[in-house]
Amino acid sequence: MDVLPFVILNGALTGMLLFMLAAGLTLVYGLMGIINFAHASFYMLGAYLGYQFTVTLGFVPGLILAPAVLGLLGVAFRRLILFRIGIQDQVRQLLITFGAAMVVTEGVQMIWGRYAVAYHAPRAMLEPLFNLGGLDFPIYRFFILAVATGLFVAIYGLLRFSRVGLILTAAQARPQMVRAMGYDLDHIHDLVFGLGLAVAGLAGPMIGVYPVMAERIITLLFVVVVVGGLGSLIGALVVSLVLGLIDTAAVTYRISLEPVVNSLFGPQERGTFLFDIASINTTTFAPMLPYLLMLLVLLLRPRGLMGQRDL
Amino acid sequence: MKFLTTTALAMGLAALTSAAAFAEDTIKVAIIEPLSGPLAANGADILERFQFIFNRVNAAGGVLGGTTFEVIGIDNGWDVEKTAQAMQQAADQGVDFVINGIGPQHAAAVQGFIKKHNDRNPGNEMAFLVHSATDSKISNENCTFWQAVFDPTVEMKLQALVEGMKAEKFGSKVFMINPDFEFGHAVDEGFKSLVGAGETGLELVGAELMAPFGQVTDFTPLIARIQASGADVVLTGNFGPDLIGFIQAATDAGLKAKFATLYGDDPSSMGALGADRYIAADVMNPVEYNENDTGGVAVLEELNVEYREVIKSNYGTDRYRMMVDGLVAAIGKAGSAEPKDVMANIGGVEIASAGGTGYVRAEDHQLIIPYFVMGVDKEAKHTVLFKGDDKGFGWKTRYLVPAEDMAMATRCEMTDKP
Repeated sequence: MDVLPFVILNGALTGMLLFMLAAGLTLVYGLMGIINFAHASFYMLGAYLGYQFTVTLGFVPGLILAPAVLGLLGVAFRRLILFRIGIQDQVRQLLITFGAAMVVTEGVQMIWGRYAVAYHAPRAMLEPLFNLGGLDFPIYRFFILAVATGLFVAIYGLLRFSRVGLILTAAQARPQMVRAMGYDLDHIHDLVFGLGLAVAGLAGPMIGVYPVMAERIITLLFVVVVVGGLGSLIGALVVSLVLGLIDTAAVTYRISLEPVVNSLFGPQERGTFLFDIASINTTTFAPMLPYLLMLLVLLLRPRGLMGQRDL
Repeated sequence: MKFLTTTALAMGLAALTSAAAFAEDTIKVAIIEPLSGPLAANGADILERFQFIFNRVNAAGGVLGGTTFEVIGIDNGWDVEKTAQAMQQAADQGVDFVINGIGPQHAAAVQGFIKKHNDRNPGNEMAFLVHSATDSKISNENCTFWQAVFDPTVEMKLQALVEGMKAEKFGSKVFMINPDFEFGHAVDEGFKSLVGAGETGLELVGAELMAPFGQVTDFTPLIARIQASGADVVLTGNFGPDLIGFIQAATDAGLKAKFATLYGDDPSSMGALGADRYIAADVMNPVEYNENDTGGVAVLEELNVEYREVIKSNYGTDRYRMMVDGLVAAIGKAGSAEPKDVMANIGGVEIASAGGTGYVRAEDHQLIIPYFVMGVDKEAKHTVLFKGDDKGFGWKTRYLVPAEDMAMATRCEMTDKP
């Protein structure tokens, strides 16, 4: 089997999915300085809403309605709750969004139950697009790739070339000046926050729907945002792809400490400390690698790879 | 002064409302399981099933000429510290029998507490009834007179699975993926020693432990590794999101391997994956009961119907009934409901089951029953139903493992018989 093409392809697909989830968070943190710990919970809500709409209305309506509803919820959330805390007060932001995360997560589980729901992508999408090394790659993975790429292009275009984007970029550095020039930052912030959450609502239904999804992914999303650089969309994209590649490579090329331990100390018996050390390998510990990367980056370059502001 | 009275009042109210009060003269049973948190649904389901079965016993007249069972649930939030607190609560309320099984770390905590408690409180002992065996140490090295395990051990389940695979010519090259915690290690080690002993006719072409409980989001690389190994069977102890994601990725990628699972019968996974994926993966799963094969046992036929009507779920798990039956029989044999007498008489008790009669082994208080190796059946007469939600497919017996084959040797030496 051609391992390298598989690693690159699968890494890219996984990475783009991660980017779709992290894009909204990057946007909100980078442009508004708001740490939204509830982002993953909202994306979970989006996923369940997407599931509900798909069941009652169909896949495509679900894909359109879930982000729309979530965008509106985002605006409501910002206006009613976040508005009351100053943008500088990061501790309170963290606490409030953390609380919101718990409320949303529990709320979703109360409404839809604590068991995984039967969410299936439409049959046509499950057909293989092509086969690489004996494994089928279904269409929906490429659909996710297409949506994520489109999202990146759209958001990047919005930020660089549209009026709103220019105002936002200016407002990052000089909010008072921008307000003095007569721009209504509140409405623009509504737009950004709503957009951030709408993107989460788009990503949610793509990834699979189960009750523990939010807790698992929020820390990973923060790794992407922090390592990529706060506020940098390109940084988020690059890091997402890197994490996707690292994850795929770590599981596919199994590197373990066993040869090292065995050559130094001989083969170990089960239950001993050295056996446990020898069992450390990249397949089992793949989910931990993003955090090791974050640790490294924070030590060497705290503002992230492409960030404009420090943590 | 005001502060003190308010505090005292608050504490008094809390004390009144927190503990469930037991009536006098009943046999007190506490079920300690997660009733909050991510596993709340599993804990609540188990509590409900036990209450259903104990209520049946009470309605039929109870034990010892009229004594009834009183069952309460105590929440441990799947937190080991809370399990210890729950045990203290149970002890304080004079609970006789503690039932627990979700999570080997909790069973270990209960076991540890009971051993110490019974040591220090002769005459006021508690007994431990384990409904799910997920770690070999509990049944073997750490066994105690004060516990009875009503579920075959991981090794026994693997033995059943291996026999089923041989009989059904399910496959010959096995790749094993297990969750990286005590239970997954038990499966990993158990299967490796079975294959090592050499009578399985199976070849282990790969084994991995993966980060459990939903941490892995992309299973495709694992699927690629399995495919590269040439395996035709995947053996996995994964459950919940780990199993759902795994089978989803495998069927999406068109992996040509069948699945031998230990928790594929979980209704939640069945619902999330759907019949087509289960059939594509040709899932095979060992379990103590499958309602499409009651073996003609009358009480099981009744329960099949009753449970569906009352609880709106299918009666797919029978070991809780076996536990209660075993407890009732031991009480009858002992002529007393004191934990000491019950545990002294529980060895040798016979248990009716769909596959034939089983028993509780005296040596280690372990349930030995014939075991069913099930396969997916889209045309099953009784499909899996959970809280009114019909999954649309069910199970059939592919192979019935006789009880003698399940009676594997134990390393248990009960040193604390009173």
